[in-house]
Amino acid sequence: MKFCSNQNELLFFIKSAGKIVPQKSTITALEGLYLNIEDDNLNISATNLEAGIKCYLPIEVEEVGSVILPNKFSDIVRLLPEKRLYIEVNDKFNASINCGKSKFLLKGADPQEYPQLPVWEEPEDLKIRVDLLKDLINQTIFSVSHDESKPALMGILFTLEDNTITLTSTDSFRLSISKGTVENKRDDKLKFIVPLKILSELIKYNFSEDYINIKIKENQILFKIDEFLFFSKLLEENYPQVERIIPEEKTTKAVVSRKEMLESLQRVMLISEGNNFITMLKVKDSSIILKANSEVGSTEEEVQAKVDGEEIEIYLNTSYLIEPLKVIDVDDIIFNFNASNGPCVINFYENPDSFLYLLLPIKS
Amino acid sequence: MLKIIFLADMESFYASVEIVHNPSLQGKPVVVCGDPKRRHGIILAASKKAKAFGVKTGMPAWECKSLCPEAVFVRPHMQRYIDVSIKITKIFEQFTDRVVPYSIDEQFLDMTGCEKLFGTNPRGMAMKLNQQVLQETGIRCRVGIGENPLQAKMACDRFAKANPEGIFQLSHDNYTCYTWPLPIRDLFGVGSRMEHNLQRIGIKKIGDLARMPKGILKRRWGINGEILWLNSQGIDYSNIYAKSTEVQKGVGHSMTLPRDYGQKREIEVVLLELTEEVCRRARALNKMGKVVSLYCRGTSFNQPTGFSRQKKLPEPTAVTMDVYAIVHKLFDTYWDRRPVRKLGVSLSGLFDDSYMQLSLFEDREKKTSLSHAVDNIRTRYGVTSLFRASSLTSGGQLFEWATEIGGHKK
Repeated sequence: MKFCSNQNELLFFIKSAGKIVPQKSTITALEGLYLNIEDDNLNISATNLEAGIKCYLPIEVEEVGSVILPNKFSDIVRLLPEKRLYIEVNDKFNASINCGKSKFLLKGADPQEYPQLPVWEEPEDLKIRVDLLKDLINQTIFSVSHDESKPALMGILFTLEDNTITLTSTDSFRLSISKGTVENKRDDKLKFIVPLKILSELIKYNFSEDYINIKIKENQILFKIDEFLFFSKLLEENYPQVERIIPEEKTTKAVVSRKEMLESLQRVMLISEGNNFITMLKVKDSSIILKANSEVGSTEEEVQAKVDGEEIEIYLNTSYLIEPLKVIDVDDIIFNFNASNGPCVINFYENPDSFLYLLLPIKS
Repeated sequence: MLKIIFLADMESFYASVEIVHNPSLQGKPVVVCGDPKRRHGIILAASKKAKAFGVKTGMPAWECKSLCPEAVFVRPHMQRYIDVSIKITKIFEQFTDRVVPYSIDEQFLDMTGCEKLFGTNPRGMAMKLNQQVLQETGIRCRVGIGENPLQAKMACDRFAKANPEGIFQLSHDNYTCYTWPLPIRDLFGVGSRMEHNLQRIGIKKIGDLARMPKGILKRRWGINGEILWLNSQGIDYSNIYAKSTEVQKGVGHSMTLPRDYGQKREIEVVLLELTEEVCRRARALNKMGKVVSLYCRGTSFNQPTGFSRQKKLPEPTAVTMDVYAIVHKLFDTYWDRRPVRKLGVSLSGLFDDSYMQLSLFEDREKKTSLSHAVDNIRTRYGVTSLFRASSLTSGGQLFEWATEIGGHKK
């Protein structure tokens, strides 16, 4: 295997793949990067057996082949000057890296040791605007559970019906649901749970293409965009029926400015974090009053609101309230309450069906 | 105003209590020693007579026997010591209303302003205190007097214990001249590890440390280094209540196993029992915890192996099985599969249990009230009135615990 490439181009892709490489794995091959040349592309892949990334980088190929290089390879490339990089791998899988006046010899491993990686096949099952998908993920990812005793909740549930895609997540204390439209209409219903890791990687990228293609293959999901293929195993668990949790009725409704509410909550958290984030919300007349106290002191904030319905007092977790308000990008939001022991539901003021956040109260 | 702080320490406390209880032991070298069969065979206390042979607290039983073949071994009676300790606190409370127990045999007294009441100087008050304790309990008490708790502790440990009347007074005026010539290990706060560290940089005496610039110690050991430097100067900004007003940060329980446990099944039983005890105590305080810690030590005494790990929960809990799930997971992840000598579980990050985050999928209130109901039964009818079946299996320690305090018989 022999090729040459620019240091900065190669580094970008190696860094992307490197984020997936596990620190320690029972399969040593996984602790490295898998490189192979196909056509005029260098493919760089990494996987932790659950999630993985494959990126395609056009290069000048002199000789095809494949190899596993240790993650040290990315450190070497990172510190090399921004020049042409010449890489040659011999039949013992030793790679010689030449760049400017630097020379490295890096011991690699037999590519046969690397697990088989999924391959993208046309046509896609789904096509969606990538900025929309990133929004939907951002609006739900913070509610994903980290509790290993509830494995189904450790991912985001994707549901597809007609041309509507719904993402659902819950950690059993709150529930996030956000909806969007896909580009291709489907006749059947699709339902699958995607683990956190790959989604949290995906949202970090700024892609140049507008659409991302998604394919479900057996128990795997593949995302294709730009020069990247992201893939992950699906969680083969039963997701709880969450629709029935959402209350039909509400006793109090309050419309507030998201920004004002968020700023007040962030101030309240300075105090409430010392008391397990307990905040009292009092909804009356034309405002929501927030109160918190802890060992360090106490605070009271008033946020202007358009209130409809009964006066109400409810205890909620400040941190759980802040998280959704940080990631949604609308001006006004609606708080729906169902007495002081019922859940609090947050929707967008405009287009209320596109987002729902349900938070259970703290009982005192 | 200058304060007058006493630290009162009971001489050979456990051994003295045993001698008072059984006067035929009077004048003999008495040692209180745990049960060697249950691996508690270390000296918990030695009478003055036994100490004369070189017997020290913490020494294994066999070493004590070789030093002092005629030593009289007595098993500990923990409840008896607790009762006497409380009685002594009551005596002290006749002298001042500011009494803070520091350990079972040491108590701090703030005597500031009491000199007018007793019409005598601090020394005179200490003598009266010692007389009163000896009269009512038969135990010899030693008093260190200082202007702060540190000086009182230093005065007691380093001087009062060694002089015949059992009283010594340190102050800012004489602290330097008495303590600086002492070896560095005699400074409060210096353990064997720190002693070694300090000696390596040429600090052999307390005075050597005192003459070091504070900044060097602070840079090297952080706040701890600064505190040691202050200790060497006799400066202590704390008061004796600081500890009593401090909110409890965690609840923990640990135990040395009666034999090495190598089987996972047996270890798990003890882990569950420990978890139950920790959660029960948290519930008794009306608290729930957010951080679960597990401590596990291997069998080698000289080369400590094992681990201490913790995990944070999304929401605080004091429900045994919820905490045990984490304990179990930690154990499974970090246990090296080698036999275990000691286990400990703790719950920290405590919050009031009067507020509870509700959950979508489980009735957390119901689980908590069930736990409280079980606790009530056990408080009323004893810990063995209601227990998990696993405690009947070979690893279980619950029935042993029920008869013990602090690992020794009640």
